[in-house]
Amino acid sequence: MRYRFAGLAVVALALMFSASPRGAGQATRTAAAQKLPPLSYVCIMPGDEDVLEDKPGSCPKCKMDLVPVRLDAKWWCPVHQALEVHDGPGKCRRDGRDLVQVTVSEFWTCGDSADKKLLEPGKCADGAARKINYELRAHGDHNPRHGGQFFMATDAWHHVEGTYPENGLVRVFFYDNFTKPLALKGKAISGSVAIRDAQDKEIASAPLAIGKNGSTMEAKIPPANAALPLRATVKLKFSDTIPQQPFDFQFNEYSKDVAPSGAAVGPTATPRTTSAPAPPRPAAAPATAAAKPSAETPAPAPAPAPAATQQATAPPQPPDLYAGEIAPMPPALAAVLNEDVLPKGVPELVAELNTRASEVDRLVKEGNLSEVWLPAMGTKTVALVLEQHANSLPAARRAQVSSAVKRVVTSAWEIDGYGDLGNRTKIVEAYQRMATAVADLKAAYEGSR
Amino acid sequence: MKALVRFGARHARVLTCATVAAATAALVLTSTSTTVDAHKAKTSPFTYNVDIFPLLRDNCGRCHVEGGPAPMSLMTYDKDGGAIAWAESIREMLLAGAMPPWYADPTGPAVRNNHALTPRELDKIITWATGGTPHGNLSMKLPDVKPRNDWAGGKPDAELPMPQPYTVAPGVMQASNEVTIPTTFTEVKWLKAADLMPGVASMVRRAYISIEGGPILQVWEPGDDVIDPPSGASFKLPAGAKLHLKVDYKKSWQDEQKALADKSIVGLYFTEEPLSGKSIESVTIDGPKGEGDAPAKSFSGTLKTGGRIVALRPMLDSPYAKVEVTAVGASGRKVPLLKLHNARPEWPRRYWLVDPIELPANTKIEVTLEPGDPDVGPLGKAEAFALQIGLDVVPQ
Repeated sequence: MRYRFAGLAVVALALMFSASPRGAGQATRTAAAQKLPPLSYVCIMPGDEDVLEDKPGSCPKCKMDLVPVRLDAKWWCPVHQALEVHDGPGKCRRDGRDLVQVTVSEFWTCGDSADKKLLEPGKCADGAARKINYELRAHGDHNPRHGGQFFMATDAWHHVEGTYPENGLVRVFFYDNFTKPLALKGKAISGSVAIRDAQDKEIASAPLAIGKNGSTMEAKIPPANAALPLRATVKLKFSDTIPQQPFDFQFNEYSKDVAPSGAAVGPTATPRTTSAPAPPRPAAAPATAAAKPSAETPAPAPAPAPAATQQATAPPQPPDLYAGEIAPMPPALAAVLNEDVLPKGVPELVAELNTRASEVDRLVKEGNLSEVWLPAMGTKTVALVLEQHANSLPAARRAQVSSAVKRVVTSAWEIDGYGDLGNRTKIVEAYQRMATAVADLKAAYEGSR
Repeated sequence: MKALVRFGARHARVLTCATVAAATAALVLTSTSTTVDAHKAKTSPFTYNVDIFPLLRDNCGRCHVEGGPAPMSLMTYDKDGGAIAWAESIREMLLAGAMPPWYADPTGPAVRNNHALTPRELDKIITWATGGTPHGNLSMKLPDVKPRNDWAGGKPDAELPMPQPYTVAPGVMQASNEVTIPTTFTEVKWLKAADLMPGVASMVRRAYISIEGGPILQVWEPGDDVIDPPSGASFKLPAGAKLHLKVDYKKSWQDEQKALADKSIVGLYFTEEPLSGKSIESVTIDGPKGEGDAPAKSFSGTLKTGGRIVALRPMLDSPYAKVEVTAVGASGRKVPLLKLHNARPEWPRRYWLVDPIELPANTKIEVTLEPGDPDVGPLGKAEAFALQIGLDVVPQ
């Protein structure tokens, strides 16, 4: 069974664990003595960041060796992140924005080897104190838990999953930045659900109220407006200081509450404690640091740090947690970024550009906002390749191509970003910019302007 | 594992070691599946050391360097913050087209010393900023980038310092100072350029250098090149003329509680008298005033004296997605003079035309504008100036 942790609550519980007689091993006790957050063991595989154990071992999802980290709750600037870390809420000194709450892993570095992550404070070889660093650990898992669509709020802390489990009932699940269900009791979250017609006009609205289990909100949709496909904009206000945020859902069928394979559903609490240390696993081949995978060939999974294989009773050796290696690219993304499979001729490339851009349009129309980023990335790939063909054009047309390709690139990244947030209006605007740029690009090559 | 996951982080759908191993051959543009693997942090194939540092150095390094005029250095990976701490800001600014602050649209008339990123460069940097900001090959030793402390155009023919230092007091973040600098030349001088050596580079945000009662010599921004006017045009500096220097100061947050005293130096570059014997003159077409808060959509003016347009100097009152300056002849024929996109007011500059444009007297100058986003990420609300288009003309 796999355990996931709940940001702050778990960090707090984990801290308690470290002082208990059941605490796991020498390293943890040393940490407690220095009032450090305890060692936790996590999986560095993308998508498996929710795995959290209190002993070394292997990832129950992917079998990679777990890696030790020290997790703590901090507040930092939404933009500058680790540049300014605070112990509580407040304003960012640099830009005045509200600090945001994050779960970080703490590690220490020395000036001459800043990429070697050490798990204890202390002195460097030159006698200087080791410098503390913070790294965000969150957003590892944006998978819907209840068959709905999953989006992130602009504060990057709240996450919501909209579901339509039965006719007339919209249910919204709330999570933190570790995809941990959020208890809503005592929180000032308010909101409503607006129903849109096929032309995106709002035709009905219903208030959201906290559901029975305390971590959902529900709205009763008037029967006259409840038919599938249901276009529902969930408007949420997470606090007095954050503006209301819309999340645009489209339910083409009723949501089936089936968790993704292997995913735990519902609240869980703490890192797992086991009665015996996990058996050591043979070390995997050392990582080739900073190997640069080509876009078309997903790199092999990063090799684990050697320290992850230590038994819990071994004296704490500062593990080299540096992983300059780049995570494997998801195959679907690698596929759309692959320039080698694209046609060589300009007319064929222009046709491919149109195909991929209209795929964006189709997904937006279907309300499938969480997947629209993929054809958007694919569209920019074709546009960038088309730009390489511009050298044969006269200067004025080359300028048109450059301008259009840039707009395809920026609109693609905008679609990507707004897809995370489930903001249909912004995606539609970005898509319009993309469509204009695609038309301009086509015109520049066809000379029709 | 490296990197701060960016806020607005990637969606990570079900992705396991097993699926990666098994699915490497999947080369289908997936669309309807609900278990599409998403890209997420640390997937950027472009790394700081190998791919991103050279781009940031060449395109951002004149300002975004330790001790430079921009408070955030992008010239190190993570020292004192470094580029990774600003990755999300970089992304926002590039997507908004607000940086680099060079807004000439390539589809408009060509301007000199274009500083725009290519589409491929743009995509690389955003991919890196979005994809986990990987460090890259650690055995690479990156060069130490220092702020420029010499004259961009070589040693000037004359260096005229501010008569007195100007002090920006502790607690004061922004200030502006105007001074008159006498020249001691006893004969007419012809100038091809003027430049500024800031006294306190981290605080001198912009400067305007002009001849009192005469043309504007330079709209100076940090990191500017010294550009000779096209086709031998130059500025006439009468004997005993005075220079007018206006400097806008803006402290970085680190210097907020410090008193900083600036004594910048104006540098002048001499040239031969042009064959025409005529100096570049500065004229302005003013935008509408006092029409409420809504940004202007269009305005126009008339070029009283005919001549050769060599440069344009837009000053903006808010961000504009598009600015187009067009000359409209008596017959109604339109000649584009300048086209800007995603233009922010904070970086006013002179755009020298590659090909000067001859216009007869009484030509109508039309300006059309499309409002832009007033609030872009770390820039926040835009600084505002009186809306106008400056034209630099060599009269007929």
